[in-house]
Amino acid sequence: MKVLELTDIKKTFWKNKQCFSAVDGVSFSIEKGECVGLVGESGCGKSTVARMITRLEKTDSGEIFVNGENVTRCKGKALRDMYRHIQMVFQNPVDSFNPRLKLGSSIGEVLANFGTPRGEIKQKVERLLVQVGLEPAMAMRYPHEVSGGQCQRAAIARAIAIAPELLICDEATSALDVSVQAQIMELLFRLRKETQMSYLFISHDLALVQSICDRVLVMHRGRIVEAGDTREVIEHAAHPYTRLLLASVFPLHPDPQWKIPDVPTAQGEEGDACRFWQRCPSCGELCRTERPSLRKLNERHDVACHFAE
Amino acid sequence: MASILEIEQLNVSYNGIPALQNVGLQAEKGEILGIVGESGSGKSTLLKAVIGLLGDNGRAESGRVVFEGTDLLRVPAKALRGIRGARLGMIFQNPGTSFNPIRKIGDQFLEAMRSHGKTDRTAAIQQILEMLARLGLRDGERILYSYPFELSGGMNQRVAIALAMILRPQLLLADEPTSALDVTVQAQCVKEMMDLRDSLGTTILLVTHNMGVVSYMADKVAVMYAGRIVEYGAKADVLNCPRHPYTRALIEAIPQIGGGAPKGIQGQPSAAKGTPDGCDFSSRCRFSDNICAFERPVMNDCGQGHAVFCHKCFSEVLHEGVRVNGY
Ligand SMILES: Nc1ncnc2c1ncn2[C@@H]1O[C@H](COP(=O)(O)OP(=O)(O)OP(=O)(O)O)[C@@H](O)[C@H]1O
Ligand SMILES: Nc1ncnc2c1ncn2[C@@H]1O[C@H](COP(=O)(O)OP(=O)(O)OP(=O)(O)O)[C@@H](O)[C@H]1O
Ligand code: SF4
Ligand SMILES: [Mg+2]
Ligand SMILES: [Mg+2]
Repeated sequence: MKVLELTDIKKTFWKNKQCFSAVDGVSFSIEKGECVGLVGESGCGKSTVARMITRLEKTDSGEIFVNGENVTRCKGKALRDMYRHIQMVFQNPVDSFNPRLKLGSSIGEVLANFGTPRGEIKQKVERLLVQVGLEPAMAMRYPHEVSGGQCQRAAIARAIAIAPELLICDEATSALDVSVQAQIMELLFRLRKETQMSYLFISHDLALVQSICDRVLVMHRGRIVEAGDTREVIEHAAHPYTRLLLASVFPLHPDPQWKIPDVPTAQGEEGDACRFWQRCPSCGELCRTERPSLRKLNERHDVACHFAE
Repeated sequence: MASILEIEQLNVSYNGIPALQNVGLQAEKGEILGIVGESGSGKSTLLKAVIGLLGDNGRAESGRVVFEGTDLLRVPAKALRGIRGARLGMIFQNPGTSFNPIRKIGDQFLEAMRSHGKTDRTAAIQQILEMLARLGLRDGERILYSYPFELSGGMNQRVAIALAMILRPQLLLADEPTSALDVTVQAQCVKEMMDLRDSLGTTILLVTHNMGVVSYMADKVAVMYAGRIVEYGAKADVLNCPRHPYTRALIEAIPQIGGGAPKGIQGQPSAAKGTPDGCDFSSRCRFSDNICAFERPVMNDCGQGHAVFCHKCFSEVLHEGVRVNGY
C-alpha cells in the first residue's frame, strides 16, 4: 500500500517581481515500510517538497495523497489527522523548537496533542531522550542551551514520539558525528521493523543514503533527474549530474589521484533547454533546445537525460 | 615562528557545569586545524570561547587564548569587537546566528563591510556577487534581495561563509561550514576556503563531522570527547594510525559507498563530567581495563607531536590499522 503519493506537484515563488520555479513537477510514491532517499543540489527544492507534503507550504498545482486520501487542500480536523500519520525532522533543528519552551515541554506537547495522558508524559519524554542518546536531564534545557547535534536529536525524539507512519527526515543527521549518527540509524531501522514506519530521507550524504535506503531520487533544479533502486542508481549512475555528485565525495584516505571536479557554474535562464546543459560534459545539440523528461531505462531505473543509457 | 593562535589550559563552563577541560592547542599562520569529535563534546564551545561569544550562562573559568600576541579572554569588550570580523571571522554552526532574520541579506553584507571601512557601494556589491558566484550561488542578485528564510539551508550556509570570508580575516573559525551542502557545492566551498588560506595565509579552525573534508583540508587534527582533546597530531598520524580508542571507533563508524549500515559506539554519548577520576570513555571502551575506571589518563606523547589522552596508547593492540566498515 502507498503511504504517500505525489503527482506532478509544483511551486513557484515571487521575488523582486520575478517568478522563480522552486519545484517543477515532481511525482513519486512511498510504500508502507519503505525508505526512500532524496538527494540533490543545494537549493534544488528538496525542503520545499517536504514542506508541501507537511502543508507548511501551499501547493500551486498537482496532488498529494496520504494513505490514498487527497490531502492537498485539506483543513482543520482532516489536517490534524494527517499529522498523526506524518511527522518531520526539520533541516534547521534550533529554529524548529519554540525558543521559550524547554525541550521536554516541546516534546511533551506533541504527545499531549495526540492523546497521551498527562501523567505518562514525563516518563515517555525521558524514554524518548534516552533512545536518541541524550540524558533525561536535557528535558530541562532550552533549545539554545544544547549543542547543534543534541538539538537535532531532540527534534528526532519529538518526531518519533507518536510513532507516525511516515517520517520525513530533512538532513536529520547532518549535525551528528558518524558514531551517534550510526546509533540513530539503528534506532530508525528498528522502528521500521517494529512498526512498519516509512521514511523520506533527505540527505547530502550519499554513503549514508546508500547504506539505508531502498530507493533513491536525485533532484536537480526543481525536478527529479534520476530515480530507482539505490544500488542500481549508485552503481550504474546514468545521469551526468548523479555522476558528478558521486565524483565529488571527498575520499577518507587522500588518494593522490583524486581532485575536486572542475565544473563551470551555470548562468542565466535556460528556457526550454535541459537545466544541466551548461555544466554537462556530454551535452549535445538536442539538450539546448529540449528539456528531457523522466523515462525508463529498465524496470528499476528512471532517468531524465537525452543521452543516458 | 610564533603561533598565531595559542590556547592553553582552557576551562569553560555553562552554569557552573564544565564544558571544556584543560583544552590546549596551537595553530601557525596558514595552518588548517581540523576539530572532530562526538556531538556535545565541546567543539562549538571551543570556537565560541575564542571569539568571546559564549552567551549569558557560559564562562571561561581559566586559561589563555592568545591571538596575535593578545589574550582574548582579557581584552575589553570594545576592543574585541574591533578584532572580530576583520581579523577574526566566524562561520556559525547554525547559519541563522550570523544573520538578522528580518533584514535583507544584501543590507547585512553592506553594513558589515561599511563598518570595516569599505564604503564604495557599487564596488562592494560587485565584490559580494563575485564571492557568491565562487561559492556556486548562481543568482546572487535574487539572494541579495532575499530574507534569510527565503533561502534554502545550504544557500544560507554559503551566504554565511561568504560573509565571514569577504573581510579576509587572519583567523577563520568555521563550525560545520559545509554540513548543509551537496557534495559538489561542498567541494567548491572547500576549494574557496583553501584559496583564502593560500593567498592570504589565513589560519582556519575547522569543526566538521565530515572526515573526508578533514582529510582533504586539515594539516593537523584534534579529536574531542567529553570536553577534552583526547588525540592531537598531524593529520596522517591521527587519521591513519589513531592511537585513542575513541578515534578508532569513530573512524570505523564512517559510512562508505559500497559498505553496509555502519555501527555506532555502544553506550550513551557522554557530556563533560568533571568527575575526579577515571577515563570518561572507559565505560564504552573496547580496550579498557582496571586502571581506566579509577585513574584519569594524561596526555602521552607518542612522538612527532602526536599526543594521546589514554592509558593504553602505547599498547600493541592499538598499533594495528583501523577497519573502516569491514574494509
Ligand atoms: N519562502 C520562500 N520565498 C522565496 N523563495 C523561497 C522560499 N522558500 C524557498 N525558496 C527558494 O526555493 C528554492 C528551493 O529551496 P529549498 O529550501 O527547497 O532547497 P533545498 O533543496 O532544500 O536546498 P538545501 O539542500 O540547500 O537545503 C531556493 O532557491 C529558495 O531560495
Ligand atoms: N548555552 C548553554 N547552556 C548550557 N549548556 C550548554 C550550552 N551550550 C552548550 N552546552 C552544553 O555544552 C556541551 C558542549 O556543547 P557544544 O555545543 O560545544 O558541543 P559540540 O561539540 O559543538 O556538539 P555538536 O557536534 O552536537 O554541535 C554540551 O553538552 C551542551 O549540552
Ligand atoms: S584510557 Fe582506557 S578506557 Fe580510556 S580510552 Fe584508553 S583504553 Fe579506553
Ligand atoms: Mg533544504
Ligand atoms: Mg557544535
